[in-house]
Amino acid sequence: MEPERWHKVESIFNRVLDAGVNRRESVLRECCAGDEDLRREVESLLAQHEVAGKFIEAPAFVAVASAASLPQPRGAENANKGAVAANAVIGHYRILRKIGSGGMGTVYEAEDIRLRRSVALKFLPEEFAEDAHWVQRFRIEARAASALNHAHICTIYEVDEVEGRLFIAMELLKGQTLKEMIAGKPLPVKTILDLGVQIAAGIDAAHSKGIVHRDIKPANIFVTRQRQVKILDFGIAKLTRPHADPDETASDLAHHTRTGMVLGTVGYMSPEQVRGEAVDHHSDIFSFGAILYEMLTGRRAFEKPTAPETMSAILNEEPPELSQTAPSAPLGLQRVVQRCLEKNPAQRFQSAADLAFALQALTESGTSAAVGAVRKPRSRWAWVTAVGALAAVGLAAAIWYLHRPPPAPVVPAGITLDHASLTQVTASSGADRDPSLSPDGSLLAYSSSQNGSFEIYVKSLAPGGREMQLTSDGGQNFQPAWSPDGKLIAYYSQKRGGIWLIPALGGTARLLASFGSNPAWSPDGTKIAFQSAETTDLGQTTIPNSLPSSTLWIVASQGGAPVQLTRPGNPSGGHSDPVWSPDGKRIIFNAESLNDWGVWSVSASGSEPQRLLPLDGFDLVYAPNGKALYFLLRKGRSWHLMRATLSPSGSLVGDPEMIENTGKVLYRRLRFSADGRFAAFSEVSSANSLQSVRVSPATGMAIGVPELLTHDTNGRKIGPRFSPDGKKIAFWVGQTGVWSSEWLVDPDGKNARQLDATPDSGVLAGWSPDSRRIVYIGYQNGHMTLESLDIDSGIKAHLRDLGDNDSFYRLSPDGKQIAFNHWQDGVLNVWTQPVEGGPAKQLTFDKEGIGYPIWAPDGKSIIAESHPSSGSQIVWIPSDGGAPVQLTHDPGESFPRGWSPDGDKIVFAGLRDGIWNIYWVSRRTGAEKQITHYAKANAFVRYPDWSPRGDQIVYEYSETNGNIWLMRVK
Amino acid sequence: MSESYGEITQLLQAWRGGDNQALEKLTPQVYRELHQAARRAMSREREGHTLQPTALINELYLRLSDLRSVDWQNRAHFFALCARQMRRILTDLARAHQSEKRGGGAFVVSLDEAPDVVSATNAEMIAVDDALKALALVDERKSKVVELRFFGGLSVEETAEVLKVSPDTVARDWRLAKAWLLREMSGTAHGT
Repeated sequence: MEPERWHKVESIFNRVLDAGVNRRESVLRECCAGDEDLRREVESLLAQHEVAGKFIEAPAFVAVASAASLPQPRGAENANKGAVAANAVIGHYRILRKIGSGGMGTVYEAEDIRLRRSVALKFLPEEFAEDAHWVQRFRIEARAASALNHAHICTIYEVDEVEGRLFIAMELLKGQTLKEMIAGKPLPVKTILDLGVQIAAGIDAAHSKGIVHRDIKPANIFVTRQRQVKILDFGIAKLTRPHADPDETASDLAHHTRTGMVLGTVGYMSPEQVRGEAVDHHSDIFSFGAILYEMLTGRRAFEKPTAPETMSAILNEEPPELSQTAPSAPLGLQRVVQRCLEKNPAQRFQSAADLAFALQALTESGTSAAVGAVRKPRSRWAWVTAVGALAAVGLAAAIWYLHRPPPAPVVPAGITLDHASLTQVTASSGADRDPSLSPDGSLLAYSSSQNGSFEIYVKSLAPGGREMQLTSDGGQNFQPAWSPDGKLIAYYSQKRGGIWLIPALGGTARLLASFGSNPAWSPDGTKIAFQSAETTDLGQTTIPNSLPSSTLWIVASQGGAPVQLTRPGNPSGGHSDPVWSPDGKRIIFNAESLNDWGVWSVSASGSEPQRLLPLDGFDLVYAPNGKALYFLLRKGRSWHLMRATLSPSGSLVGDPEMIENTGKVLYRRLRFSADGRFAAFSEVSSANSLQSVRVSPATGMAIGVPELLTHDTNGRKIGPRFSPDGKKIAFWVGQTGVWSSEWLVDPDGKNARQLDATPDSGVLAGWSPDSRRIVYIGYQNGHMTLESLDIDSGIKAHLRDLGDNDSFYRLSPDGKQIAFNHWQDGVLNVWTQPVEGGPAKQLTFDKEGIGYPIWAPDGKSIIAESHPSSGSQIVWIPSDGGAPVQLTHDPGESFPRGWSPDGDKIVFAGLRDGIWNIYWVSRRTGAEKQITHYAKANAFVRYPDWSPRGDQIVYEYSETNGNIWLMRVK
Repeated sequence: MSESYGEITQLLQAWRGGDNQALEKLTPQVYRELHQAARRAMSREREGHTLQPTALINELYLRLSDLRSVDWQNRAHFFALCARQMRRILTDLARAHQSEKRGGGAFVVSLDEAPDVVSATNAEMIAVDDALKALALVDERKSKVVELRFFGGLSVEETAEVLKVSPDTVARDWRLAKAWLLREMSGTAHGT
């Protein structure tokens, strides 16, 4: 930077900070009039100034020395008996240093030795642990809270007790609390809105899982250095505060009721809390209102010399008028605060989601010119934070982004994606997906679950532009596609069925085709192509969506009967995801069967389907000039954005080239605006966990809600399997970009550990009958093998090599046989073979295919999936051969993976009405029962296994979320 | 110690007498002394003693030389020299540990000198050091302010003395430098 310019930056920075807090915005505007870059530069420094807090205030030497020891907590006479020494190992944590203390205990930075990650450990005061009833309650609450996995809630990894010391392991954060940030001074409105939206989103996420905080206050809200809000102590704050924090004011005395229940900090309590009534989520909204008030004024909404007077004020008085105490605050924001602080819960915002929406709307209504609908990422790091938080993609992605290769040189295709212009355009905490740009690139249509079910939204991409919810029928609406004239949007409704059309600026939707999904407009706007099958697996991040029977159809956009474009079997597999060439002459699509996957092209009249790419690319799209094709390709451990150059006749020129190695991050559904100036994609990622639901061994019915068994949400948790003695669950973690490995966890979620001896292994085939060894699929010299591993000694044994055409090996309960999928003439059937080798025996002879065998507990029969065109069904087969018996009949999907120990019930992941849940079907009675009740279309369950004691079902749960990004095209 | 103590005093006096080369000769001596002091202080901490929050360099300076015999100008230079050395020592220790974690590499300081627990603050120390190098290119005085205050442990007033500016200027420099460093450390793009 030129010294002259730096001098300017410095002088404006100082002038703004020297101005009163409410004048800063205007001083900044004046000083930077007409120089946007200058304003951004100063603004980015001001933003850091706000969060700087105690950064480097302590001399480096002191910081190092205090890391070397753990200073005694100030004024705490019981500190010695409670102190934890640096380097001490507690459970699987190594203590590094103390980072804080208060009434609710002492917090240390520690390293999780097993997972090799940094965590914060909060040790609760020892007197807590003496009350067994309290400890039990605390564990229940903390377990519920640990299920919260949200960008704005500090994640609780686990609660444990070692040598009588109860502690919580949680996400390690760096930054400061909102209390420190406010410190008696008002915050700028922009900051209040920015933080407020985040806080409300975090509260909403917890409320939607039925968890109320009950002690929302500035000291419980943490702002990281990247200005990301993290709410602390969700659900447990009220249990961890039997004493006043030493640093709180006289009016903050915490109160015990006779039952030992601890109430919140007095100053932020809701009237119903003060009265000692039962509280619900409205109480948190009141407390949040009190925080907003304090951010605006620097003063507490209810501040009296003593606790009883404060409580009386909460019940009977209004806080000093904001028009007096914060006259420059936007009127809209004043109203939001007033509505939060209504004495009557029914008059407050009815949900934190509504509140978040109101704050977001204020942000976008141009309270400041700097806050627009399109937000330039504040920094490379902020970008990464957003991605990381939503996706838990982690550092690898960050490193990839910071060190990504320079944009590709201009190629004959004549189009370059300008990565430097990458901008995040949506930021909901749910799933924002399926971007479609208006022809002129000024508007974005997308599908979002931000208000529950998926609906279509339209957002202006101009600075300060508004967002509009286009559909609100709860129809699980996806895949909006903008008409070439910009007037209509076609979309797929999962719940109402078929392809719908709606005016782009709002109006009534009308049905265009009663079936199908993935609509695509012809360039002249007269026709819409679509696939006949529903999109079955909307929760998936990586799989194109077509059932084997799916074909392509075309319907006139004016209406009329759809006409079939492609025929079943030509090409083989399901046809999906049609895209028109810009000249309207050809349509490209994916064709997928269980063992083949390709990119095909067909003329718009349906003649001459031809294989375009000998690759399993997907999410294909033409460059707007028609000279190239973009698509995604999975390459080894990462994702590549590829470009294939096309000749004027539409055939390939040379080999497709990689334009970007996106690492673990996925650019799903890249779409261009028709004018060729912009490209948008949804950046999706999934959070995966093992979950467990208790069931009655007698009836098989659920007797509890699903609980989280694993806390690291990276990587699919594939094929969990109870050991025969029921003491362990083994599973395989498969993750793009990382060595895969087998893991073990106790049935109660404790002692999760990676079996280090199995790098890059495959799925679990089963357990040895004595529960000492797992048997899994390995890869050696490019071939699949069967390996066994002693879980205690780590000793491995190579059992045998496996056939390359076979898959899904499963070990019989006696450990002597394997059952597996075998391909023959493109059809899947189940075979069995002795583990040590010998003649293989064909068990099923189905023409449409049967696969994925699972042995019954007694080894005498096998269940498998049959694949008729209307969706998979469960079939039962005697293990020595015989005719398969079909057990399910629902047209959805049914993936069986486990048996009840008595051999009667088969537990499976079932897709019913577009939602995945765990079900079982009884072999004896044919009855089908639903065990879980998930309702999100962007989630799925897989691999349920039943515990040998019959009291628990464990399975994988995966939820896909993400946001939409925009970049310029050069 | 006593040997180098005398040597340092002599060098300081030579420096005071106008011998600029004395400052260069002084550097390795001061480095060694500070290094030893840092190690002693750390092991003392690990045995459970409480660290006195006295600025370390002040203490060292008192021990190494007779304050009264050095005028203000030289005292300020000495502070600056110590701060620079402290920066080297602390970041070297941190880097040594980082490279150990990565499984090797050239150590500036042998590993047994670096207490394990330094790892907690390693990353931050290195990040500050790196960001400070970048700041020096933009605004050298502000980078000096940070070096003196953060690595040297000097107060605002002492820093003002060293840099011959007003304490108010130091406070403003400090405020902007912190924001700039944080932004740099969080990888924010800036300037055009």
